[in-house]
Amino acid sequence: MAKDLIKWAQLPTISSMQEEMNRMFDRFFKGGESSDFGMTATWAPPLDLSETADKVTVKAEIPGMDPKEIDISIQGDTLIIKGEKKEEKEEKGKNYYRMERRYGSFSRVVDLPASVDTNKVTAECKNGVLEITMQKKEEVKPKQISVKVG
Amino acid sequence: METKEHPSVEKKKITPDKCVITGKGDWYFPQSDIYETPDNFTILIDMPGVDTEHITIDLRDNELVINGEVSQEAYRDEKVLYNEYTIGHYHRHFVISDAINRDKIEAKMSDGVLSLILPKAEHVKPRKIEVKAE
Repeated sequence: MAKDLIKWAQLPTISSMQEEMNRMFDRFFKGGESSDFGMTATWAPPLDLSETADKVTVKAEIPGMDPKEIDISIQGDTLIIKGEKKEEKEEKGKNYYRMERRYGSFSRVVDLPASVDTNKVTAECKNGVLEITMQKKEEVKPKQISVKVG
Repeated sequence: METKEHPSVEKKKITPDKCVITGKGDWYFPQSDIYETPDNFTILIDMPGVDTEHITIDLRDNELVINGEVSQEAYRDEKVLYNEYTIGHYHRHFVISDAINRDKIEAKMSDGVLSLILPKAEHVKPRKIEVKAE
């Protein structure tokens, strides 16, 4: 009978369960340094998206990636970047002391702010930073209309 | 400007209490891998946006100090729609022991990754001792 009597305070409350859930999600999505949970599985390069009146630029940090392993495609107003960061050639008898860098394949889908001309897309990779420049389509570029003086 | 929380990659900012750094801009701890092979220790450091000319590697006493400065400029005429990574210089230091042949440390940079090869000193290299038959 005594088994059934648990002090109220010891029971997990809804809010503490909620907190634990939040922590779990944080660990999973942010890959906090304290956990080795999902270390390689959730890798994706961080990217910046910016625009000017006539072009859209996407930059991504992809240190250690072979530019040949990157696949860029545009479907409608969506940019898709896929790639795989491979571990350096396997050497025999490698003994790791520290492994902070991430490896694995990723895919990122970016909604573009405007329609772009798929024939005018350039992608450049320099010092581990990928830069994709896309020209906006003529019809979406802002037009300046000058007012005629009558 | 919207700053999105990005899954998995987060740069650790260096606060002034951690070490003394002068110069403009923010400084970050880059991510690194360290591994050992029979002949060397290898350190790989992710430093996206750093040119070979902007890396300094100093060996002071037992400390190997690596600084990388980014030349990438901040956005000026562009409207930033989202921003997931921060741009800043990199700093990292490692303490090395006598197990390393200091004269033969090599460094190279490719695709934003600095690789440092630290050869082991002769006295720590694995050796096979042959058994002599009598």
